[in-house]
Amino acid sequence: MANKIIKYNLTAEGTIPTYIDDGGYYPKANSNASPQDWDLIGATVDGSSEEGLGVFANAAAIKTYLDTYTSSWTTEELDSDGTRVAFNQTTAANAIWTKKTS
Amino acid sequence: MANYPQLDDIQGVWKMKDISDARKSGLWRYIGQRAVFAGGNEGDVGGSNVMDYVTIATAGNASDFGNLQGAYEAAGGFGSHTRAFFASSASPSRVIDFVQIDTTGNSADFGDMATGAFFRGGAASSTRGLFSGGDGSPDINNIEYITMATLGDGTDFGDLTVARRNHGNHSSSPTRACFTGGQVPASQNVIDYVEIATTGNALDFGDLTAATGSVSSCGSSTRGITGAGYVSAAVSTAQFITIASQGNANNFGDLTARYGAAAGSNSVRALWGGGNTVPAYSNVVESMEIATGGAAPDFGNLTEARGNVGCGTNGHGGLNNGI
Repeated sequence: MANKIIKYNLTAEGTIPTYIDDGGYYPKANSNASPQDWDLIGATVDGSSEEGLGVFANAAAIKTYLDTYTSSWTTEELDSDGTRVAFNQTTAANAIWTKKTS
Repeated sequence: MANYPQLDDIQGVWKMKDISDARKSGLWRYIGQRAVFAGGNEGDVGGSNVMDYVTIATAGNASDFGNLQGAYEAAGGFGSHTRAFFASSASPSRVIDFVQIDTTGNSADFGDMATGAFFRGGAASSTRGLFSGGDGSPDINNIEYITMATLGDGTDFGDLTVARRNHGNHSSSPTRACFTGGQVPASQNVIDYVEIATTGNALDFGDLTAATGSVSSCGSSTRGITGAGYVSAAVSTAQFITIASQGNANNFGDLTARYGAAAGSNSVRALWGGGNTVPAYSNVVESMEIATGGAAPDFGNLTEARGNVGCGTNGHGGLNNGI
């Protein structure tokens, strides 16, 4: 039994696919009609054979993918004067990869 | 004499206990008028423990309410007929604070969230409160619920369709909560929803008119209003959804451009308080009539300028079936 980190869309009915155990991460806009207009990253349920829009081999592959659309992302710091700092793709990719449990 | 007790006709002779029980269970057609604003970011001096309150039906400045257990950026929050709740956001915290809305005392500990995060969202019916998402490094998709009449920890409800943070307060009916906008950290246009009485994952509802983060919503039992927020800068746009029917949001009016404001309502009037107007934090409370929208007149001032504020009211759409 193993799970995978994949890209996927919501179903045509706007629900989270049943093969996704933990998802909805770092949406990337695509050209589909709503509600399938975002490519999302998520971890599949253990043992699922579903590969969605593609399987990530490792954290580096997630980071490479995030680099393609998140370069302008910024995030607000807590307890700051409103300062926004650049999104850290490496930290995000590693955090997502930890959701691969086996 | 009215047929006793007849909850769709509150005229007649009633026992005080029955009125109290009906109010606590959300069956009494009573509109609470108090909005409690809690915590927030005062700037680079750190979070705030300040709570203040206004009477929604009457424009005017906020009055001091008491203090949170700590100095938090308490984005999110919601209320029952008697209590307001805030999932405190202290790097990232699991603390749930609550206050008795009709008093002006300090908050007390309600329990802990299952997952630590900050910048959560919140929505409620008369019995169940939901905290949604947040920044848990990475942003989390978790929806947790509490039973507001008791004390206890958060329990897993299901997942958002998109993991995100900075979506403050949310609109709800007595049966449905709509989670609107947020950041991943890029701003999002997603609206998803759950049926509050059940547990399960959120479903797609529709889209905001623009991807908007650091946003806050409130409304009546039929209409949800989302106001201001952050696109690539602070924005003023207010937009509405019809809670019972899925679909995209439509323009509703304009607030002062800001993000990280808190929103609350008495099901007739919507308020947005505080927020970041860049470079300054705001103490301004603005109001909008939920039935009509348009330009938002000044309502009054919070006791302290701050952003990423929490808000809980005892009159929002989740408490008032048909109002």
